[in-house]
Amino acid sequence: MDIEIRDRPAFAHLKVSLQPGERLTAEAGAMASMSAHTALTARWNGGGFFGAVLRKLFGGETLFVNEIVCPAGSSGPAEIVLTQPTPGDMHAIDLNGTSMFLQSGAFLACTDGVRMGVAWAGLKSLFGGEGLFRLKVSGKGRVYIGAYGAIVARDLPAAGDRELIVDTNHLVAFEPTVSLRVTLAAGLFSSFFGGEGFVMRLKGPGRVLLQTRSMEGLASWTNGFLI
Amino acid sequence: MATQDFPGGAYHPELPGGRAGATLRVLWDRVEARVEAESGGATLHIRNANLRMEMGGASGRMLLMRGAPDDPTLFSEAPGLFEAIRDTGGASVRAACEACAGAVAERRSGSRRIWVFALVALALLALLIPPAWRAAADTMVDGLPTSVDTQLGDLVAGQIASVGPAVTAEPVTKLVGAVVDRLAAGLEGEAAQFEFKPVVVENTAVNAFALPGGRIAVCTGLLKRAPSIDALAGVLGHEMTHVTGRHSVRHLVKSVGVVAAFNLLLGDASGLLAMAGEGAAMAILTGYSREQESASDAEGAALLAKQGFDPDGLSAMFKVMKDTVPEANVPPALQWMSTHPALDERIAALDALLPTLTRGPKAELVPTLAAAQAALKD
Repeated sequence: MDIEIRDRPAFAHLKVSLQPGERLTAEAGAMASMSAHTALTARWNGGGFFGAVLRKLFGGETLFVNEIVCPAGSSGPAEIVLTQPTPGDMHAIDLNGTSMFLQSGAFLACTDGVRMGVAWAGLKSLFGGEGLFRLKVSGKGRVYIGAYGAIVARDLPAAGDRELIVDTNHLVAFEPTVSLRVTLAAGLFSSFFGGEGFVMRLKGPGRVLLQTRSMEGLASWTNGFLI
Repeated sequence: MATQDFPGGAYHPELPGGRAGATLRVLWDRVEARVEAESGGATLHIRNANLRMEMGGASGRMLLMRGAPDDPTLFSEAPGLFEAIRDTGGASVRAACEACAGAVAERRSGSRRIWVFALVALALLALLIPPAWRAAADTMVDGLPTSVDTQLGDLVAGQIASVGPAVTAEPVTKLVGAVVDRLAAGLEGEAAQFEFKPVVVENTAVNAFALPGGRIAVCTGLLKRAPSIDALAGVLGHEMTHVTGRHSVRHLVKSVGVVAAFNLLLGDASGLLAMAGEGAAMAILTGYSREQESASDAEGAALLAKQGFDPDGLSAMFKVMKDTVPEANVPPALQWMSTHPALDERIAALDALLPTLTRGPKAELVPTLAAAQAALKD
């Protein structure tokens, strides 16, 4: 299997090459092109109806996922291109028996050995613009995510300078060891008139992935041009 | 003591990618983490003497363990781990456990404060914003030129033709015109600037309506059923006060929101007109709020009295129409009346208002209502 992220960072896409017998799980609708002999099977996202519904409603993911397989008897590899709806970068996360929480809609594809689940995020997460549930990927394998804008990785240490303040809606993924708190950006006046409002206070240890654009920012910007 | 395995993980630069899932085991003098061979294969540990713990992570229930600078950082959400460590005993472990528990308690009270504050703020906003918005919307409409009303009315003028063909019989048009003129003469100040354009349309519905800007349509059904000239005047006066009060525009502004209001204020009504043109024409005629209806009832009755009509006229028309079923061929939005329970309230409100009104010199109109009704019989 060979997976490459091409044409970064603005219009990144995944160029996948599967050898006969290999397979990849991808979000439904992500396929842009594929070799004629590639086999696509739709499965419930996360094994079972209820898991899929939860993931759709709260994880922003699709109800089904595609299992992309290069059939065992094929004469050659299957080439697939996977894309995402937003302009922006993609990132490969290596899970080494560890887990990662993903923002709604970030998931793109994953290799065998990775499990997807939905975890309760708590009311503070809803307040922070991240929804009531989080998507959790765990296991041993590789997960590909996509974001709106470029993706910046920050590693927060266990001691010392371990806190980071992130504007809500810019968080793409983070490890479960990172703690989150929703706070005001500054004093009450400065927070709202300075335009920042609520922010997330992240505390390490752990890795966080941030995106340099937010959909909410784009939406409110375009609203200014509409009636 | 039986050793228990807890699923978790470890951060350490020696691990591939700096992190790996691991199985944690609590031993008498240290916490050990075993990483599987395929994840890097290592056994890491933190001695109890160096152990520092805290509760954290995204769930708030993850136990994070640190030690000496070269030690790994271990983590686990498995229940019972904290207790297992505490149960190993020893002064350093006890100190670490106490520090951990203290920090957890402090964090909980801090986040509770935020929630209380946020709920109070939300409640205040919910209480203050609606009346402030209504007041702002009214002020904005006051700043708009009345040509906007006329433009909006012209947009939907075509609706009048769909109700029925215009009646041209002279006794009818002259009577309605005379009543409207007489009532309009009683308007003062800003209200006097409106130019009313009454038209009678052939439709059996007992209905009349006004468009912003001054067009008024009266259905022949209403004309035929009017018990007196005062009743007809009551209906027309009510509709005229909807126009002078600019109720349609106010209602529209309040429901369409801030964006439309800014557009209107800056003189660019075209966006709003475009919206109306797209089939939202009915939005202009979606009816008036209850406050607006009551206001028109009262102002209409006062205008009636002032111009020499019997102020009881409107109430009399209500009573006649209580039994009328709205016609199906008149769009619901143009229903002047519906058999709404509030009808009785409006009659009662008008009856209570009557004694307070001073009546001007009686109106004598030519032609008479009887002549108009006779003309309609053909």
